[in-house]
Amino acid sequence: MFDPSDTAQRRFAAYGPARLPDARDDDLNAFVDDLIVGGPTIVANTLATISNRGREVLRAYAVRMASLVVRRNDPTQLLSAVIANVVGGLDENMHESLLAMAPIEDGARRLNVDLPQLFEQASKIVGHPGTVNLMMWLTRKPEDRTLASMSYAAGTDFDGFRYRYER
Amino acid sequence: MGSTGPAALRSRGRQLMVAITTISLLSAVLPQPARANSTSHLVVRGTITGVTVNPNLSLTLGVDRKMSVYVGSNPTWENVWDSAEARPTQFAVELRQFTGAGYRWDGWYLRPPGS
Repeated sequence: MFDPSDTAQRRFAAYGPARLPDARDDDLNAFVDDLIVGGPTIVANTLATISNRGREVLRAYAVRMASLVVRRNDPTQLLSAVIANVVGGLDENMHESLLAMAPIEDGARRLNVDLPQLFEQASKIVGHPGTVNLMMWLTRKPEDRTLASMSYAAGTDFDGFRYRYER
Repeated sequence: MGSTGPAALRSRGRQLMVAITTISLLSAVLPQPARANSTSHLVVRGTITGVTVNPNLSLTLGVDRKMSVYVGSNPTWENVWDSAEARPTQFAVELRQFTGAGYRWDGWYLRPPGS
């Protein structure tokens, strides 16, 4: 069970680089599914209490899901990635969440997913102000939205395709 | 000497009310530095089409004077993204000017940096 307000998030230690998939992904899948069902009200309630660590976990999940959709050639989890990243900090245009947008966009491109349509779908779930910041991403110059510009690279691990953060 | 009968007084009252209303409406959009500090916020209403006046005038005043801005339109996807043209709407461009200037969302308000 993922509690976004938990300030320690010990259960999610080293979650970002963990093998993909991981049992903890299921907890976050369930959490994001609840956001999708609950919509803007539940998202707003979550944002009112979320901890910084909670946001970190959601951003890590977003990038992991972007990797997974490419690996599986299945865009289903891309919406979850967008929503997780908005709640993970894009609502406040956090730098780290902007970085995580690059793998999401790259994943969408690889699977021929229409990014504005995906964002429109996500906007109905995240509401305000995440919607505005999703739009803002689309207005960035193409060169400011690439993996490289956001310190990410496409690669592989033991299990297949994976986005890698390069410091 | 002008007339001071009841009808004349009512007429003057109406004229005065029209003048006050006109000044009140114009004060939000015209450069009036002497009045700016008494204005706590500007109301922004988003539209996709039909802009007939300089849409940035009131917003520029808001940024210059570090005023909080009440956003009167819900920034839904349809209000911020013109799907047909694949570009942000004028409303979105205005919102971007504020956030680009360091304004932060606070509910339906945009608060200036440092507030």
